[in-house]
Amino acid sequence: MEHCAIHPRPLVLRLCFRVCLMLLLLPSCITWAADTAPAQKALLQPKPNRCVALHQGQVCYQDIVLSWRVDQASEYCLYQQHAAQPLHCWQSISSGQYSYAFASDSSVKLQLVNAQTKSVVAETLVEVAWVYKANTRRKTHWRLF
Amino acid sequence: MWIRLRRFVIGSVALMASHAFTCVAGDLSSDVRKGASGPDSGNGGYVEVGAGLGTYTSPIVGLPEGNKKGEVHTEIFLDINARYQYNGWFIELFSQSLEQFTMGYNFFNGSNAYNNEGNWALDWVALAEHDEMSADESNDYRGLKTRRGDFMSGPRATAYIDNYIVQLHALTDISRTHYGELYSLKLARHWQYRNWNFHGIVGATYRSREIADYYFSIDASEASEKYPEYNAPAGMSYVSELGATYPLSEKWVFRGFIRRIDLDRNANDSPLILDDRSEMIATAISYVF
Repeated sequence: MEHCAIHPRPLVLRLCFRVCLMLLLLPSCITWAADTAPAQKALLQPKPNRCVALHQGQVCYQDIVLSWRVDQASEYCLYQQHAAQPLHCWQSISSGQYSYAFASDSSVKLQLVNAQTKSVVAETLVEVAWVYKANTRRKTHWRLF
Repeated sequence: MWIRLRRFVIGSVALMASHAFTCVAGDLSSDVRKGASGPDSGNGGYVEVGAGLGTYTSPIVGLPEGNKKGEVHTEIFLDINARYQYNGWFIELFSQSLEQFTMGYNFFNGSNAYNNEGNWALDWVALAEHDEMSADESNDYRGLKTRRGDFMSGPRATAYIDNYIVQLHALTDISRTHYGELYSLKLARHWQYRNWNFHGIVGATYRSREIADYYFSIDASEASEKYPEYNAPAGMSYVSELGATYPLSEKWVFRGFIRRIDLDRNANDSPLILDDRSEMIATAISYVF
């Protein structure tokens, strides 16, 4: 940022500004996977990316549409993190959509995996939020002031 | 309008004298709407403010002013729900509950030692159960003695068992208004369907003769053609309620309910009671701070 700010030439200034802006505005729900091949860019985006239940601890239900896009066509599978079975797999394509009946009592990480290389090419988080947070202390106790 | 609806609620509770409505505890009424499975026993709280629309029939003379038997009243009201607790001391205000404001101390919390599923809470509470009935409040009470609002106190026990909540109140008058006693038992259950939370409440309340006599008897000194002399006995009242709550977002909540109150069959023997039952339907949208 400091370098951008002191550079006198307008063209470079504009370029720097754009790079800085991109870094600032990069949405948190879009992940460029770090463990993929350098040239591979992937996008995995849920809509909506948030599920709201009434009370903490309740299962939250939300119909979610997951859109994904990669640079290279291949076989890709969508996984809920730590699940053995994929939610869905696609053959020889570079983009797709998946309607997902989300149901969970906590936030869930979803991953797009290249089935051939077994590498995670993109991941995203569907957050679970509540209106009323749990405010309990479960241990049995008496108290007097 | 809110004041009038609030008065309806409060007045409804007052009517319990020997007959009147069952009071639904703020805690039970609020907890079942939230789908809670245990008491709020930690420090902290929340405040909700919103607007609602309510339609109701009132069985009490003068509430609202000019009220007639079976007359349907529709009003917009301010929906306020708040609870704050610190080191066991708490205050509660739930406008959709039949109890307006409760303060108290939570001195015991317990859980089932065997499966850790049941949760229990014992509180000592103090609350205004019955509102004032006077000519200042309603012109229908002209010529009658003023019946002061009261303040009652006593233990409140609440059990949370799976999706059920059971609550018991045992209250006595501490305001030297009528020296009466009130006992109520309520059972509530909540169901979740997707992100909707549905609830049901049934309850019964007993009010001693002292309460009934103070609010709904007409003594010789105030008796008239409109309000003949009458001695109100102790009595029961019963409440049943179904409702739904839905989180529109993390900060906005929709609520709706339908409630029916049944009084003793002889409730309207009192010149101050028009009917032996009342219904209410209300919806509200609130912002949670």
